[in-house]
Amino acid sequence: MAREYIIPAAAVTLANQAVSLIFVNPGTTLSLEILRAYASQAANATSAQQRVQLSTQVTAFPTVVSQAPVVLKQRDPVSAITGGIAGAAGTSGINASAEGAGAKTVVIPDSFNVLNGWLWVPTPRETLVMAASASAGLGLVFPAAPATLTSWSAGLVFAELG
Amino acid sequence: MTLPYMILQGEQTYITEEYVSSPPALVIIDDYGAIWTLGLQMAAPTDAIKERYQTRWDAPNGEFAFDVLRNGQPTGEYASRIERRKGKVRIFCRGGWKQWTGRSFV
Repeated sequence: MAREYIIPAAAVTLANQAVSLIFVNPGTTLSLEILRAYASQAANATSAQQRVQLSTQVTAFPTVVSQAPVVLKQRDPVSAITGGIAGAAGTSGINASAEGAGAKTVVIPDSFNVLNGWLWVPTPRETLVMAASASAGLGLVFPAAPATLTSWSAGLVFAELG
Repeated sequence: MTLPYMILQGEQTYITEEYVSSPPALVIIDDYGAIWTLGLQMAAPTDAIKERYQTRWDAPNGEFAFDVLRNGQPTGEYASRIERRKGKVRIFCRGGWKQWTGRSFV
């Protein structure tokens, strides 16, 4: 059975630019099936629209804060993905300080009201699979800076395949 | 597993507007300040998907469903979406729409 993990970003303050809230890059042996993504803010109650994307990116990858995946089911082993700051293969991180020069391909473009937050749950045939050794990572990206930069939370839930 | 957004982080004064649905909204906040969202326990719409994900089988056709959480606590229902309409919270389950009465869904 696939093992499920979450890469959480809790109450972070974003840079005033386009920013990858979450970035994960598969390793060489296990592909990743993306099962859920979410983002929300708790800074204020001011209505505002915010663009969001799930995007693949090839090198050069974002510079992020290291964040290892957290196991969802406590009896499962730790993830093969480890925390890293460079977006390299087999690593994950949050809250990018620089987006990197690598080309992004937008897979899921969307927008949401910050009062409601954003939750992406694919139907069974719509799940994204990031292939092992594909030399590309997946980011949960705000392509434009939000009006309020503080107290953003986000998460990316994935299963390891193989 | 309960994630921070599933429970109140402080005094809540905002009520979700009518016709907002989760997903794509992350949470629904009702007139009583309760936070509604989908949990991480999955239900599958078909036998094949049930086998693949080794989960229960009572999701609406063609959709994943998840446990419905109220303030981070399971309500015992599995649904593909939660909606606030006419001041009520309702969920879409395998058997159709159910509405929250204040104690349970009917």
